Amino acid sequence: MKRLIYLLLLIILAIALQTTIFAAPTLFNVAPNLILLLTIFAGFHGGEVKGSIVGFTGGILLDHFSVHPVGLGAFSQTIAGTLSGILRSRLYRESIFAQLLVTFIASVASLLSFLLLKLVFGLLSPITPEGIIFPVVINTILAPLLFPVLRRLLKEGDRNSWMLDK
Amino acid sequence: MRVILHRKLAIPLILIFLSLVIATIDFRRGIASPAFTLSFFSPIQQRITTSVQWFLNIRERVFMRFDLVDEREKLIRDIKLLQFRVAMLEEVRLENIRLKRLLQFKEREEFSELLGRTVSARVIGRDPVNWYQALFIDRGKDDGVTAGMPVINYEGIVGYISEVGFSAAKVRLILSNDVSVGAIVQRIRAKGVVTGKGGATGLCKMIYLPIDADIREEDIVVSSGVGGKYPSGIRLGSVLSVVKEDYFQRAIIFPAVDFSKLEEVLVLKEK
Repeated sequence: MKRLIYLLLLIILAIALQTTIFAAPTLFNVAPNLILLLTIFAGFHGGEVKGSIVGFTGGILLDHFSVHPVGLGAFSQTIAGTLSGILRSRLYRESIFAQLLVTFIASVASLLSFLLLKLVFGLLSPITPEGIIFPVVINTILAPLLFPVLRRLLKEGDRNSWMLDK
Repeated sequence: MRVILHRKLAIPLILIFLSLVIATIDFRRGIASPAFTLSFFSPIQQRITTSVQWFLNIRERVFMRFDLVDEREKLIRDIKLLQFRVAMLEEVRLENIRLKRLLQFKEREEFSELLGRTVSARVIGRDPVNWYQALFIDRGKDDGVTAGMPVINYEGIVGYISEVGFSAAKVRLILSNDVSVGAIVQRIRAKGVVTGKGGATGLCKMIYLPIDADIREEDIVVSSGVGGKYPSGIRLGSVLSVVKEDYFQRAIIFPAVDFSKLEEVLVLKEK
């Protein structure tokens, strides 16, 4: 129970930060996606089930703060969490290269699935190549910086963290 | 091995399917108002925004000291100029009242009436995915705010209330391409509709402008009051460029409101 509450608090904090400090486009007209990074972290360290649950929960909550239909973000984040969980078994998790690679692939998959669903719903507005490349690059660069912090935070908060493998 | 793989993927697949179902329902019918979500997060957002603002203010104060002397001299010059303009405008206002009385028009005092029914609100968050399309304010149902109310600031029209929580509300910005405002080009009284240009441009466009209207760059565009949602005469922006189409003209509008620095807004309550 404690570990779930801890994780939920982390998701709530990430959403609060995402809708305030990290909502404004800062670098290259994009903002880092904290919920996506948390989802990828959950998938990468905990597997596809945990990744998908964090992605779905974070995505559905974040969707309430956006103008697009609720569920669009949840869909793309769940895909990212699942994919990073699948990829983790094929990589050495402590390697920075593995973190970069998984974040890159999961970010691309998340963004493309989000755009695809927007296209299906007829909500796709014109998008530039930079609009796809920059968010992926920013998330990929941030992953190796954020992942050790999250790992430490979850380990210190709960020694049997739900999100981390024993 | 295959069974384990399937078991592992069962929950993710169910969640992916569930997201699609939720998205379809919300797209078609709209899910119940997220009043609880907005209200739950608003105190946290408020705390974060206030802390960031406090930090920025300190930083600003430190750097500001260096520019204060120049700034003070410039402000004194500006005040003198503005006092002169106010005096001239006062003359025009009095002349206007006299002429209206002469023509037996009722004085509308629209703007003082407008200010009387405003609720001031702080911006506590932005749409994280579509930064140019929505923001969140710290006023909601408890403050008498309801969906559909227009939101302005001293620069012009900001947007309208799209969803309301108990202590927070979501504002759709005029930069959003599904928000439209009846508008008029102030100089030549040409009517049209202002809507967001879409994407992350931060610009608006004015459509359905008469083909023969002499619209020029930097012409001021204000709300026309048509449609009843927004009051007339509130600034929307200025013309950046004009393109002639088959039957109408289309102008790109630079918004009057600086959306990147928006901290406080006014919600216009119903009469």
